[in-house]
Amino acid sequence: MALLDVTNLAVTFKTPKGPVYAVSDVSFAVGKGEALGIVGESGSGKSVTVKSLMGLLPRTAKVEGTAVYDGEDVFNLPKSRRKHFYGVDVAMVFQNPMTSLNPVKRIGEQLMEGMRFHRGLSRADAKARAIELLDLVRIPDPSSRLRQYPHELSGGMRQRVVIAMALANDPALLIADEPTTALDVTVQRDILDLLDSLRADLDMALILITHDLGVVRDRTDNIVVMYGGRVMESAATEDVFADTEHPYTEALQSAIPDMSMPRGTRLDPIPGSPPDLAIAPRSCPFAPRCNYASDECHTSIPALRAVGDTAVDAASPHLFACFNPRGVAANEGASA
Amino acid sequence: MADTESPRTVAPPDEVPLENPPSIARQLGLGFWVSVAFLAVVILLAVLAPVLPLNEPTKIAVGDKFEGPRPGLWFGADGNGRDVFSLTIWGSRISLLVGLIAITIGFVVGGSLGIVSGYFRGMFDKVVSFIFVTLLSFPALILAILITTLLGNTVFWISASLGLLAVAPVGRLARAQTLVFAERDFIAAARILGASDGRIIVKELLPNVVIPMSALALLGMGIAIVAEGTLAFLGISVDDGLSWGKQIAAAGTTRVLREAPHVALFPISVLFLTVLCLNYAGDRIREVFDAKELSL
Repeated sequence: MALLDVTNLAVTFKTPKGPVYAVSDVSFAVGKGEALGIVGESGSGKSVTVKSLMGLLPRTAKVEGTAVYDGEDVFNLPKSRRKHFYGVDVAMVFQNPMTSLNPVKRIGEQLMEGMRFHRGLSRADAKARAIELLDLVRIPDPSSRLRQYPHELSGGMRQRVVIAMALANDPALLIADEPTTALDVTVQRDILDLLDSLRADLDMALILITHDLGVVRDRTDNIVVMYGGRVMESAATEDVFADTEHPYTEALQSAIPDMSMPRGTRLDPIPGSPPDLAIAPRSCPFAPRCNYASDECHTSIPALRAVGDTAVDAASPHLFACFNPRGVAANEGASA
Repeated sequence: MADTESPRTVAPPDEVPLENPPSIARQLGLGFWVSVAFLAVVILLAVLAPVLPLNEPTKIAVGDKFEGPRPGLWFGADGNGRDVFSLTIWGSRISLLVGLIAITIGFVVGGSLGIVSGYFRGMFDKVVSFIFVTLLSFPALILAILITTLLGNTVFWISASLGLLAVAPVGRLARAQTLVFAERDFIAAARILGASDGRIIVKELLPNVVIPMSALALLGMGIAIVAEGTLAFLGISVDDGLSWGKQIAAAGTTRVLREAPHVALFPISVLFLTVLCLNYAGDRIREVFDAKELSL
């Protein structure tokens, strides 16, 4: 059974201009110790999806659907359980390490707070654990770092501290919302590799959110590709790359720079911009930017369907929402 | 790049060096510490006035009428032969007290309203913002005159009326700063870790908001001291006791200014320097800590 099972999640924001359909009908699951990548460009609803799971959405948001964590309903946790759920069972790493640490508090203090609150550790024990955590995220000279303020650390170091904070109470699930977007390219890889090895070492499930399909390629078991608040394609990582069905996934792939490309090769950007989510969707959200869009793409919403008939019951079926699939399913459709 | 001889290898940069930035005291600079020293002297003299070997400030004929400064009568004497030095020190007690109480009221009321409304937003925020705007649009002098006339021109009510005027600017700054920090992820992180709203406000937001506010506190105190002087000029300063404002107002007649300018000049200079030091110190604090904020 999956550690976290999200079914038909929908998030709608009430705004003065009317409802905004940020997330519609999103389902995915993460098993114990597994890594899931949620991929999509800005405004695809990936951040809103995880924020709803973390209870971080403003009150104007209406959340529908279910999220079951280890048998518990995440959206209806009793208050007493909720207090020790976030930060203990499920922890989060934010996008920008410049803003996810309090600038006027020492690193040590910020690290120790969570453990002292949730575990009632003594100051000395919490300090020992803080040093252990900084060591775990490979920060050199951890004991003297505890006395430093965030501005004394580089961006990469700060993100390591943020990761250490998230790991403080041994979460079974770590959600990382674009953890490397705000960092230098050279540091990005270090942080991603760190997350990957921590996941393996601590047997922790990881949800990695990114706009870069290349980032999740070697680091996740499954991938969910989102666009316009909907799931476009969802499958085991190798299937997504070996048998890409959705034109959007294909477009994302051709936007990944590859070092083996001949010099002068142009990357293929996706023309246009993401859809306006304030309009209730009546067609495939990607249709206006899609090279393969046919008439029905503009008039009805494609439902998620599986590649092949047997795959629906598989552990992670290869799902896609498209009338004109690009991979194996295209031939299936032609022969049927 | 100058082609100087440099070592061919540099230390591997894999460890970020634990550099020591110049201390905060150093960054604040000489001017800040001179200001603080001057303010310390003024405050010390005010506090110690009862035990200092000063002439009785209200005693007349200590010197001759409009006598100029001389040893023992450092600031000279006024029209009644009173010791101007002694008057200035005794007057500072109420002037500084008014400044302090006013800004404390402004900060406690304005600061908490601003932080709470900026943090919770919603209806409360709308109401508070409306109150701030109303306060700002109210003519300051009329409000102060109104309060002191209706409730009495005691030290407390004068301070309170000036404090009320500080509520809106302080509150707006506190709210604006809160809006900046409340959006940051460390607040969300604290919430995830189970921190209550009260704890987030006190432990996470307040330390961040207090720094820019402390700069405003010093500026505000200077403004309140000057404002007391303005009220004194209109004859509505403290009903009994001495203040810089009353002293300057009394010496501010054409005849005195022409015949013995030192009677007004000395208290004016001390007031001017005090306010200048408060403003400068406040400015330096803001500059140094703002730069810190930018480096984040």
